[in-house]
Amino acid sequence: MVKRYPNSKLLEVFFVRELAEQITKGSHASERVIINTISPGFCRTSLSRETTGLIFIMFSVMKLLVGRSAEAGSRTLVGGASAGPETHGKYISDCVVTEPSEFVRSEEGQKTQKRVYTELMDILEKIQPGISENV
Amino acid sequence: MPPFPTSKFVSLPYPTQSFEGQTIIVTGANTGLGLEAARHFTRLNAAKVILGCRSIAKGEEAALSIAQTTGRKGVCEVWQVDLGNFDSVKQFTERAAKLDRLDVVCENAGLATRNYREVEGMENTIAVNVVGTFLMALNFLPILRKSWKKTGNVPKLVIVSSDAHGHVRTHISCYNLVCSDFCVGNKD
Repeated sequence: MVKRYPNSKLLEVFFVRELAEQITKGSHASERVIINTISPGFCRTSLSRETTGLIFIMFSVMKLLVGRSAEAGSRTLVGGASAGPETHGKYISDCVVTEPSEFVRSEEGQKTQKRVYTELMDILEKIQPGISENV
Repeated sequence: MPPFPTSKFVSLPYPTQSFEGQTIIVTGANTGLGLEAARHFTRLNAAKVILGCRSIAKGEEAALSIAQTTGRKGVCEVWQVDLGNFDSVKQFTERAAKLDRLDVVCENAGLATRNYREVEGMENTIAVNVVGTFLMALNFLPILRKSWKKTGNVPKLVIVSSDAHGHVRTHISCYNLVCSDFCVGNKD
């Protein structure tokens, strides 16, 4: 379970990158909408509330040393909500469009992105048939 | 990205842009980043701010807190939603389809846990942060486009991710994470 959270956040970055591209190529391309991902940084919030023991202590110390307040972190959400079309599909860290991780940008990452998109769309189609037409 | 967080020492611009007249949805808005973002949107003159929360009671507490600090009453509404329950996600977006306009959706709800649990036949973190999150996102797209046609304001769909995505350096598969035994039953 150690990597579950980072994995889930990587899947989000991959899916939004590919979704934005597919929207731009799709039948609704002329109807404008912006989708982006943001990173709020390391915040003093209750996200790590379910951790215990040494990890709990580590998170508590890190929050104290390098964590920003929930209010400061929330500015990144407001930033994403008022961003322009140049942020479509992009990753915005600390309110600035930033390159995602090296793995995301690697050749293997590019292939993984396509696969993640296809696989997740299959899963979503099983939950709600026809949903991919919304792209 | 730096190898370790430096967030405390990076100051971010205090939001001043106007959201006047806009309708905004924030999920996971009863606490933390979601609550503070909803507070900013309310302060910045949004017409309606919908707090998507699992607990109506906690959402109402958040709405009260926002009304008190911003002096703007009747702006926040609390709508129940649980990202780990896909019927709940669909009902939430069906309700949003009836809004006059929808300018911003901040999909902030998410979780981090070391405890293995299953919901909807899959591991909880992946169900909430990924599958529920994008089930919601895709159902919001037609609603946002309709709003753009009506108002001319380009809607934004913001997914709250994390620099933690960089901690994964190997290829991953959704099928593995969502469907196979790597997820269901596998507690690594």
